[in-house]
Amino acid sequence: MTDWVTLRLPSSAHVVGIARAMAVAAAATSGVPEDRVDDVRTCTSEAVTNAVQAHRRSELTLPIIVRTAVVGRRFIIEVGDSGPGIHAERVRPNGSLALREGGYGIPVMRALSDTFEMQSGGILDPHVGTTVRLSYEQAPHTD
Amino acid sequence: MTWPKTKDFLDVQMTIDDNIEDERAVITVSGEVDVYTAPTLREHILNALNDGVSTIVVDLSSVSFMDSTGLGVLVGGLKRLRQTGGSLHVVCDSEPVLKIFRVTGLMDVFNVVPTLDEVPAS
Repeated sequence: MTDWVTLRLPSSAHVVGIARAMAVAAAATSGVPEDRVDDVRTCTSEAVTNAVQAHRRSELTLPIIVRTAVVGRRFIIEVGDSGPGIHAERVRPNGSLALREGGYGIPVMRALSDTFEMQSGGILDPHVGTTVRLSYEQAPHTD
Repeated sequence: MTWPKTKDFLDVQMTIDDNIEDERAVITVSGEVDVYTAPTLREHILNALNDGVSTIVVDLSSVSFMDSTGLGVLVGGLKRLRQTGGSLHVVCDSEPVLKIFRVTGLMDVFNVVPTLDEVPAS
């Protein structure tokens, strides 16, 4: 059984910084290499921002769930929302050079994590919402 | 216990100073730029555009964190300036912040320079 550290956040833009602080603290104490902790910070911000925006668009007041765990040699972070789900047309591939004012979140998370998955179904309710799962390899043992 | 008001909380997260001279605005940002604070940065850029400047320099030297929401605001400013032949420059030497420009392929689009002195004269 996975031991998750879980944060339930109100769906509001001002909590994105709180989610970042929690994720950074968890990553730093879970063996994530120092130079990757900044990537955890950025990816958490992107994932929680997308969740907050999904709730805002659907006028949802349900909480957003951020949770972390260590599974094997990997630090895992999951962000779950209760929004309307993933729209394939909004998931753009990497490398588009067109100047746009949004839509960078998913390419950034893909680039700054070891693995990136986006699944239908939230953490609160597996039948509603979306869960983003990111993983980071722990630093090798030095002893 | 008294909780800080929203504006106080915002001030802790990000502060902005504007300096407009001739047709150039230097917008100096400190703190964290994310979905909560980015609308304030957008407001400052739009105010500079409304003042008729042709060049905007966004100095991110004191920014400790920025995600792609902040990047989107800068792209918006750049697009509006380009419509009138203007330019937007970014000053940044922080590796975590530079990384977000690099992974989105926008490093060259903004011609990011490490210090204010290296911004090309318009």
